[in-house]
Amino acid sequence: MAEVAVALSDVTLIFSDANGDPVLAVDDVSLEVPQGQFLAIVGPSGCGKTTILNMLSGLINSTLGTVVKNGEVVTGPSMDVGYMLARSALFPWRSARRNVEMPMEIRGVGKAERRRRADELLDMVKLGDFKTKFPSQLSQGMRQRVAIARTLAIEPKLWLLDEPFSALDAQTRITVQNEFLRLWENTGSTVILVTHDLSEAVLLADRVIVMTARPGKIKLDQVIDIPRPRRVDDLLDNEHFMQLEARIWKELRDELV
Amino acid sequence: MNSSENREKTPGQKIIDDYRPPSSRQKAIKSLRIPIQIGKVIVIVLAILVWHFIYKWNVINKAFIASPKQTLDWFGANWDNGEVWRDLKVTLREALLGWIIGSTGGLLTGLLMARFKLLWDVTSPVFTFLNAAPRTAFAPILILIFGLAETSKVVLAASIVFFIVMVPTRAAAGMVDPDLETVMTTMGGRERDRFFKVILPSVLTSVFGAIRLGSVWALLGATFAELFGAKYGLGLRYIAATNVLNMPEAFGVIFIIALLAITINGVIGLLERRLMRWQATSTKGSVMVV
Ligand SMILES: Nc1ncnc2c1ncn2[C@@H]1O[C@H](COP(=O)(O)OP(=O)(O)OP(=O)(O)O)[C@@H](O)[C@H]1O
Ligand SMILES: [Mg+2]
Repeated sequence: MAEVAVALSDVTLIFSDANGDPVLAVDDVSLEVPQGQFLAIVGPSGCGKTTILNMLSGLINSTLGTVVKNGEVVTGPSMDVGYMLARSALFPWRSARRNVEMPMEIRGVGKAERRRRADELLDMVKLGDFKTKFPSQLSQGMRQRVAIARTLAIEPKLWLLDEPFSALDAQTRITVQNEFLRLWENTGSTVILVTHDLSEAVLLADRVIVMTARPGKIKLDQVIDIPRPRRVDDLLDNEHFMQLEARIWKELRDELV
Repeated sequence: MNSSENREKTPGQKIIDDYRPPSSRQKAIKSLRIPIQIGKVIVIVLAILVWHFIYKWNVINKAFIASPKQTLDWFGANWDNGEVWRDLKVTLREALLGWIIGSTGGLLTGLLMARFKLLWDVTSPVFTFLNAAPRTAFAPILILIFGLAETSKVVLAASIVFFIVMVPTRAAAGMVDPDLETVMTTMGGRERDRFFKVILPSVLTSVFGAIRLGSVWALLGATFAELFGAKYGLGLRYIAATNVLNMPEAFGVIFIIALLAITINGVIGLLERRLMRWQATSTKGSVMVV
């Protein structure tokens, strides 16, 4: 059994809404993710998926229970986590290159080294010709690839992805998903992907968790034993993929009413 | 290229092959440019003519205005007049100082107020009052307090610019894209990084227009304060000229002030365009064929 990267034990999170009334967002969730696993979380809107990621990243603290990362209780943000959102959240006044440099800037990496590494990463996401372009001059898919390069610059041990491919059109999504798999598959880092797209979850992940409607609990924990390396477009008509998707869909459907 | 070639190509390829930069619409706009320039010149000439005949036909009492020719002659006689240049330098210095102090103060205060909401809640009545008060009317009082020299003018200019910049700064600091803040925090950014790499650039982007506007107001504020008493300055020269009905000089000074305002605005506009080039939308750039 691999080392545990992330563990939630009996985690509950209660928000207070605008009137100060409590909102139970996450209800007694326990979960262990081994180092190097690609976990996908699916569930109806508002079931607490983003909230779980925010607790893992240290943006918010759980009301009850503990969140442990690499053997230590999470109390605040740390530099070995890469967080990606649906919108690329690039800094609009910075070129692609300077966006990728940002996490290195924060860590105090020297200017020359920063630039060299940023260019290397942009080449890796096939944006070598767009280094000096600003986000407004890039397409959605390109922007999300810059965001991937920027997250790679963090060299995260843990990737937290909150629907990072959802704003892309179908074809671009497949390209960017493949791109991500190719870059991730030899890093050994752990990924937790939140998505509304069940096929995406099954295509990309080693394991899929289905959550119930709010308050979120874990309903199904399914291993996806499709071998790696994977290519998203090759799998779409794969028999085993379709079986797994159908099985999980049955569980998820009941929560969507 | 002939049509049989086209048929074998995919539609996308055909579009690329048929693409002729620049488009006919761009060409149309370009071809309009010269008539627009000519139009501008015609309008300016017309305006001067109207001015000329207002003077010539006595529409307004000749004692109170100068003709275009008189104004031009004044410029001819005074372009190397050291006293005019000194006045220009004094007013410009007052305006620039007032602008720099006012914008810096407005920016810092706006950021501070956005950061510490309680501070704003407590101080907002005073700020609201000061902002609503007719600050130009304070000019005589400021001269009593700070004296005839440049300080009183700098203070008035700064106090006008302060609010022009402070109000939108406070608003902009509250509207920073939360995704950017999240990303910055999860990257391990400290308070300092959040401020210099997220909040300040976002805010500067939204208030650049206000800062530019402030420069023109600083010039007006400084000149206006000089009307009430000064040692040197364009405002003083202007009021002194009107007092003795030296209308060519009064008109000349108004032209100097207007040209100064246009120049300052233009220089800052250039700087703005340079700093904001990342805002260029894809429609502005050239069409890309990959
Ligand atoms: N800051 C907050 N204050 C109060 N309630 C909140 C806050 N953030 C989230 N909630 C509530 O907590 C619940 C879970 O929210 P969360 O954003 O985690 O859902 P989600 O599963 O990510 O949904 P989606 O799929 O739509 O993104 C929701 O009911 C939401 O209304
Ligand atoms: Mg969410």
